[in-house]
Amino acid sequence: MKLLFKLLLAFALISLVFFGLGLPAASNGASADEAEDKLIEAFKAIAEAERMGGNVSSLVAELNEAIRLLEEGETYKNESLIDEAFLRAESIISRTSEVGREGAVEVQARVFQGVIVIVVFVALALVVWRYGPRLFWRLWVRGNGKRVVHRRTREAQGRNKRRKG
Amino acid sequence: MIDEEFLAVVLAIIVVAAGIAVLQIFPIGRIAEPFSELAVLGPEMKIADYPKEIVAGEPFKLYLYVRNYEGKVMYYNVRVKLGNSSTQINETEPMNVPVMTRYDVVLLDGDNFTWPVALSIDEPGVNYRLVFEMWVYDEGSDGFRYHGRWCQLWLNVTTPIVP
Repeated sequence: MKLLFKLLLAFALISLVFFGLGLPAASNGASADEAEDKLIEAFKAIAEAERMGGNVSSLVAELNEAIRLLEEGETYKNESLIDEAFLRAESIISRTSEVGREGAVEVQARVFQGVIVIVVFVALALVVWRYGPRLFWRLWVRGNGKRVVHRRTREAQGRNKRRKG
Repeated sequence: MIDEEFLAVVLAIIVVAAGIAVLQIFPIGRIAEPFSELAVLGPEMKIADYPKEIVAGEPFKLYLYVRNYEGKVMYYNVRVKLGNSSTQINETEPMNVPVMTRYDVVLLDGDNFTWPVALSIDEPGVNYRLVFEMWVYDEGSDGFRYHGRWCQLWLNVTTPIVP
């Protein structure tokens, strides 16, 4: 009975150690090819978010970090680095739709702002076209109103010559 | 009643401000012809002092420079290949030899990246052609495609001196 208990205990311990060690590796266990595919998927998601008008600069920085991890993982045959690259790519993909949505809202706001500015500009142009000349000439007359403008005719030129002579 | 001079100045300021606002809505800096840059720099990070004679098996240092002017985010993949004087490469066809190594980076429009590169060639020989090809990820074909940009270095590889 005691032996059976000991055997069961040993089996439980061995199982625990086996599964305990196995768990981190089995958490993802992505191969380099799978990680590379995931990076490409992340890039496509980023490109889409950018097309929607999102600010993807931080996502691009993270993707480059994931690329570096994959390269190091492949160079040093380090599976945990490859796993990390895979997980980071997944995390990027999960956030791109939110960035894209934010970008789309921003684009809409910019278009709305643009329409308002154009309407104001056109209204202003109409006001300037209608009242600008009058305002300008009033100001000109105020500054130069005392000037006497002579019309230059042949008779006047002749008169001037005679005076000089 | 508002003074007319004051009104004229205010109107002029408003017109100029509105003009600037309209220009900002329609940015003038749009890319007419998208392109990408690829360059190989010497060990001092300059366009000079490129190695010509190297020793077989000994690493030599270079820098690889990539810049994105494509108007969108790009996934670049620079492939390093080793050929000789008879190996063909042009703007449409990449060099048909195995890839020695590759460098990947994702760049936003207007960004650039420089890699420090340490390479070595094991086989002694003359007129080796070290080629750097630019490939980009193409969403249409769902794969990397040769982008028609390439740089090369001509190298003579000598046998290491055994003491």
